Amino acid sequence: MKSEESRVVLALRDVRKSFGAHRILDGVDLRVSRGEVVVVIGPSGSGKTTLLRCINLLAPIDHGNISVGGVTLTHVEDGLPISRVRGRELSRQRAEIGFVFQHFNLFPHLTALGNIALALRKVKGMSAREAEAYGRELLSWVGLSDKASAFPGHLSGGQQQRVAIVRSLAMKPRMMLFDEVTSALDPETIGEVLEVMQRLADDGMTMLVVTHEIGFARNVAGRVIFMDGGKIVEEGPPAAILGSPRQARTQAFLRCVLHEPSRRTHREVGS
Amino acid sequence: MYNFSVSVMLNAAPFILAGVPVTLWISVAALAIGLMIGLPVGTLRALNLRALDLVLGLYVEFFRNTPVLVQIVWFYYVLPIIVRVNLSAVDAGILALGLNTSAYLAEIFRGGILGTAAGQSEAALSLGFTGVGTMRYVVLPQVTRKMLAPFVNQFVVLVKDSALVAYIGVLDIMHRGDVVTVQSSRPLEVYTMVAAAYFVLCFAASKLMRVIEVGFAIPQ
Repeated sequence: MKSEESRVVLALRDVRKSFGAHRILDGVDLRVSRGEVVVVIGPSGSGKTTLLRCINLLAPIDHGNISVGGVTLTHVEDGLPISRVRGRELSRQRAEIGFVFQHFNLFPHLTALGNIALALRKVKGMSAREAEAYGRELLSWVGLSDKASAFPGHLSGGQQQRVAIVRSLAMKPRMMLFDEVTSALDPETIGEVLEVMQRLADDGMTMLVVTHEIGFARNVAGRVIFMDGGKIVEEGPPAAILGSPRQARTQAFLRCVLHEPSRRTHREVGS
Repeated sequence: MYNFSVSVMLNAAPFILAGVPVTLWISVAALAIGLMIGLPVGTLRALNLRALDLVLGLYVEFFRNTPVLVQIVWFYYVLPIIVRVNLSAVDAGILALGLNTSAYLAEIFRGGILGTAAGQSEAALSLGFTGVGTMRYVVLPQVTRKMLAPFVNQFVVLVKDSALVAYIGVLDIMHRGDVVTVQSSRPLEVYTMVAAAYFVLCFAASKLMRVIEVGFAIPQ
């Protein structure tokens, strides 16, 4: 039992979050174990992105408990904060969780290598030489060795997103969050990003992935979660959720996603 | 018929152009004050801290909604009455123009930060930067570069507005023009000369900064 507990990287208990009168998260319970790849699917507005933002403490929650690696990051009871990490500890805990954004959010004034090296130097305290060496290693891991000195403005969307992934990976996070990281990309560059994510999964990275790429969910996820109306409606192995969902809402969503013409070009990664 | 005399211009030139360093000193010093106060004020305003924002907002609005000439006169004649410091005319001019500029730069800066902040801040925070680190290493370096053009514009405004210190007796380009005009009764030549001097300064400044701006631009 003890060893099972210690394998849990992320634990959410009854997390609720509203913007004004609009409830975005309506009691989410979730546990992610070390090395697990969990894919979250659901219609837009179902709270998926907000869930990730709350986990990375980019948005405060109204109720519930979020802990990472056994450390409580935030605990709120009905709007009343019980405990919350702050200041430097908050920053340290944030760095434990990587976040990859839909629109990459690379720093446009820095080169690809500079983007990776900045936090290594200023947050981790590495020397410029160390940070650059490690940065180059990571760039080569995603096939972008020749783009080290390119600025984000000169890279394609897929290249920018690969840089963003290794920028986040460079901090050696316990787990990584992916927020629809391929939905702002041209179709021809989606595959290269999914391929990098697959390799991360193969290397044992703990991942929580919000995506509309059903192919990725089917082939890479250990567990698929369907969210709607701020709640987890259904979860289970990909074959079960994607193949024979029990809930009517899941069925309706999947019918919609799988038959939308513009979405037929899904790459079947890893098959 | 008034005939334009080049020799009058040439004779007046050394005296008038001796005002160039004065005008430049006032403009550069005022810009420095404007930056030193405008950057922190703009940054703080972008953070949107309620009580502080009220005070800073009042500061900015005061300088933006009263004439610069009134501000210059106020700092020269009124300030000594209140705080018993005697500022020279040049210092009073620099202070008034500097504070005035700081109000405009603060607004330019605030807008630049708000326009840059959202996604960039989140990316930096998620990498483990503190709020201060995010500003220092991610937001401000971008804002400063994007703000170069408005800064230059502000400097050009400052060189032109600095002519107002002639009103409190500073011997800048403008006031020297007044002096020569009284002595020579040749306003056409003299004030044309004065206008040309300001034009050359401002035009050179904007051209020079245009080059720097391109060199510092964030690659798109």
